[in-house]
Amino acid sequence: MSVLRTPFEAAARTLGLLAETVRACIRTPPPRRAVLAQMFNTGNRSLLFLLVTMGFLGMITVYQGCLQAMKVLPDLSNAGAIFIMAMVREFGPTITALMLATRVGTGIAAEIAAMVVSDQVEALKVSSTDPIAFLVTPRFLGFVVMMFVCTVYSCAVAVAAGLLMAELRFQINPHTFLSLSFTRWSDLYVGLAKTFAYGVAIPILSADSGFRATGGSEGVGWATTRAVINSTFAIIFLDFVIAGIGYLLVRGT
Amino acid sequence: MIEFRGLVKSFGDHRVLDRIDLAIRDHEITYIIGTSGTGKSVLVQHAVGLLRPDEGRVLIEGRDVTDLPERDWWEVRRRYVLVFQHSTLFDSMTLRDNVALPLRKHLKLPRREALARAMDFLRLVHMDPLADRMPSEVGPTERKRVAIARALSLSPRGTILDEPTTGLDVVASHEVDDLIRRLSREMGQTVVVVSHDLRSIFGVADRIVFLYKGSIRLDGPPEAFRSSGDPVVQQFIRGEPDGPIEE
Repeated sequence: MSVLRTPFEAAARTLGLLAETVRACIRTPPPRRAVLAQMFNTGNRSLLFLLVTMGFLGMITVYQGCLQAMKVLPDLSNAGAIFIMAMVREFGPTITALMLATRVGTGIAAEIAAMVVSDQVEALKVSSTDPIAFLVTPRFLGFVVMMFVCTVYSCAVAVAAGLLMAELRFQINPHTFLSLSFTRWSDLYVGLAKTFAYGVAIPILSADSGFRATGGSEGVGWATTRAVINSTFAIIFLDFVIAGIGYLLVRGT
Repeated sequence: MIEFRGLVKSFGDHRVLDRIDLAIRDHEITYIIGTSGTGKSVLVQHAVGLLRPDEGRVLIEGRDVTDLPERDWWEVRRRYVLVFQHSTLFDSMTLRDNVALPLRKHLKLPRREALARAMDFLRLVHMDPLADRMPSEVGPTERKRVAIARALSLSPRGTILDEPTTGLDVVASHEVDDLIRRLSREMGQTVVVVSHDLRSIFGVADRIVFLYKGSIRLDGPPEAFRSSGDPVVQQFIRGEPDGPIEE
């Protein structure tokens, strides 16, 4: 039982932090300037990173997908439609979340961990400042909003890159490639649900890792590592759960 | 008055504070001293609710605050402020913003007014010319002064300073000592100082509380401390490696 207690305790603590963050967002909304600064950090500063990763991912996926499909059936007219559906429902939100967990989540964890190990968080309490309201809520709100923006951007980049590959390598007509015939409203809803869930989970798990830091610089390092591991697990788990619920609610899609 | 009654605090199996009974009197400068790891900082953190005792009570101005919820501690922390050993200024803010933060959060002052008031407090510690610098751009003495200015910004009844002269040179230590005296003599504050610095202790303290192995070994004025026949106290004063003090 003691083996099981630790993960359950960790989950309970993380959910507690989420509840406190939501409460703080309602009771003491963070200054708009602080949220905008976090949105800039989460979104604008990730644009190039997402452009490169999603661009290559789009090209590789289309290249490999078409290459394999041609072995079975030399008809690639539905390649674009399937690719867009997969991007909206699965890859867009999930890969974007993994990228942002790496780039932004680690930053959140490191920043908070550095403040914890240098007693700055205790100093906030002494200044009658709720550390969650001050540190977590702007990052949380900024991340949730920019997770949606970045997902749309990532999908657009991946589709554009895939389109380029499809036309140049496989001579697929752009109009044929940009088909939404396989994409249903349910795919969009599942994609949006994942985007929201990842947007909530990553900043909370990262902040939680930061708050749990102990010791000195080694503690900060561990906090960032833990933030990536926990966020990655959460993304995969939420992906599985939401995809499962999506299939149950809209059977056959 | 800050009062600890039968305070017990352990971390794991290690009992850091063992039934501490101590009343810190108003307007006095009380130094809490002792060897490293005797629980000096742990003790004062109980006064502002950063740590909760395993047993015993904490009373502030006669009110039992031991079990206050976190939000209710804010009022206590406005009246009794703690200045941490490493100054703990917020890296991402200018010195002026650091001092203005409690004014905005505690007193709910608008940003512009809080910044103007912050300058007054920075002037008090002669830091106004550097107000717009970041903490990383000034030295440890300056950071310590700003941390004290931040504490003073709430016009507290008491200030608790955790090792204020550690890591400072002699001149800088004298400046901090002067500031401690001014807090008590000119502003009428209750001042609690956690320190190892004997020069500062004998020059400034009204009362000395010597902690050893989680208990109070001696409590009295500096003269009583200096003339104590306790071999532990004498070894601490002389700073000798050999003697009854166990690490």
